[in-house]
Amino acid sequence: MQSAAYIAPAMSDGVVTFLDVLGWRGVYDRNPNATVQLSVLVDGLRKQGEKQRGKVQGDVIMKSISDTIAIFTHCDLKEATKAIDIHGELAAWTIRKSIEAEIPVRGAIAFGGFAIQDNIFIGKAVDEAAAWHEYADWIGVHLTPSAEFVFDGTHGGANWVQYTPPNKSAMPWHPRCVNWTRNWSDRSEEIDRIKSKFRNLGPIVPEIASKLLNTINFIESTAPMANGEGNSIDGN
Amino acid sequence: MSIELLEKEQELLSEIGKRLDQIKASYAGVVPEKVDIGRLTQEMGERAHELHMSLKNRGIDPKHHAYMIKNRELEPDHEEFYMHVHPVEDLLAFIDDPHANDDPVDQTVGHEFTFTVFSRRWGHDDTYTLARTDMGWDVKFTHSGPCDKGGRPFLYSNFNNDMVEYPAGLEGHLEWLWDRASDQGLSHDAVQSALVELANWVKATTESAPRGSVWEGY
Repeated sequence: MQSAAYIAPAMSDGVVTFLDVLGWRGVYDRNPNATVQLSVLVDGLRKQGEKQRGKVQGDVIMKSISDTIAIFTHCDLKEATKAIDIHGELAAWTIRKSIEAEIPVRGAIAFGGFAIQDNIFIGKAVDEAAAWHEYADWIGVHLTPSAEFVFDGTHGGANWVQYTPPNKSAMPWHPRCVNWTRNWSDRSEEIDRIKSKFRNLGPIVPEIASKLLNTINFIESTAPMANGEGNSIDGN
Repeated sequence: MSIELLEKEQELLSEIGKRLDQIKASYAGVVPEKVDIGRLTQEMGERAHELHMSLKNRGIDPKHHAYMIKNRELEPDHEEFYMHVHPVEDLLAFIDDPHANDDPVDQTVGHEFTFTVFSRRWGHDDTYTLARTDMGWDVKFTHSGPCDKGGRPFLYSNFNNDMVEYPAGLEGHLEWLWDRASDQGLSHDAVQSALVELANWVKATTESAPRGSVWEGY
């Protein structure tokens, strides 16, 4: 029983991201280094999060459980776009590194109330991120409706591209998706490199082929525009 | 060693600390009532700026991480700079340890290191050269060339060629070491010492591989 002095954390608003490694089940057969590589990835992500300090008042908090990485930042509505942008930058970094390490991730970014106590997290934003993060059939990260509704497009742009995340039951919307290829200088060389990484994930049986091909489609559809603004593309 | 504060500076520090604790508790949702974050941030920021300027006027210029100055889009002397939790946390860290906000400098890009392993094929030790590059390592031995942070591909093609057995986690450890050398600015000796540990791990793996009887000729 808790002591009388114990105060349970109250819900407060913020941004929640869930990232999950694709094909983690059985990964030990394909990649014996997967656990070390995931540790390196999480460690690197923590460092990237540190470098975001000073942008919004809340801390960037990382939690990882097995193959799921959760990122939290408390903020009010005024800071929501900035905080979502931070999560977008972190997600972009993670996607690039995860492909490099052959443990690719997908995920979703939500906005809403949440509370954290040690490794327990609850709240609407947590439920929403958890429900959406494995929804899309690709390697990538997109905003969920709650984050999309609070995002101010006039202040954020370059980190995002509007795209319909591929999945079996397409929804009539084009949420902002993390534009993780935007810093590429030689796109064709980078695409070749990604394809070579994908070959290492093989055998590319039908269950995983769609994820990889949908990712290639996304990459090929997201050539940066001259003004650096986000694109708007239909993925289906 | 922490900075010795004047009496007035100590008062400011105490007032800043109280407000910072309240703000952080509020963000974490562990205060029973809502607090006025805006007012507390304003009061904390004004006092932190006053403390910063007081220290600076005594010849002690509080140092901040380069990323903090970039993210705040303000110079630390600006009166708005401390209207935020994170630079205030860093000011307190600086007072506690003047090196707390030093940015590590990568000291070993371009440095060459040795990596000695035992070759079962030749029955003797071989010493590889690993030069640390911007992207990973440059391996110099029979198979030479640029490798990623984990040593792929040439470190392992040499191992396979010369019957050097190595642990499955070697690649991850090498990458970890590369990142540490970059992020923490490890010295040449620290990197070399870590590489010796890894090389000894490879040696132990090779030497503990089964041999003789049924394995003869493998």
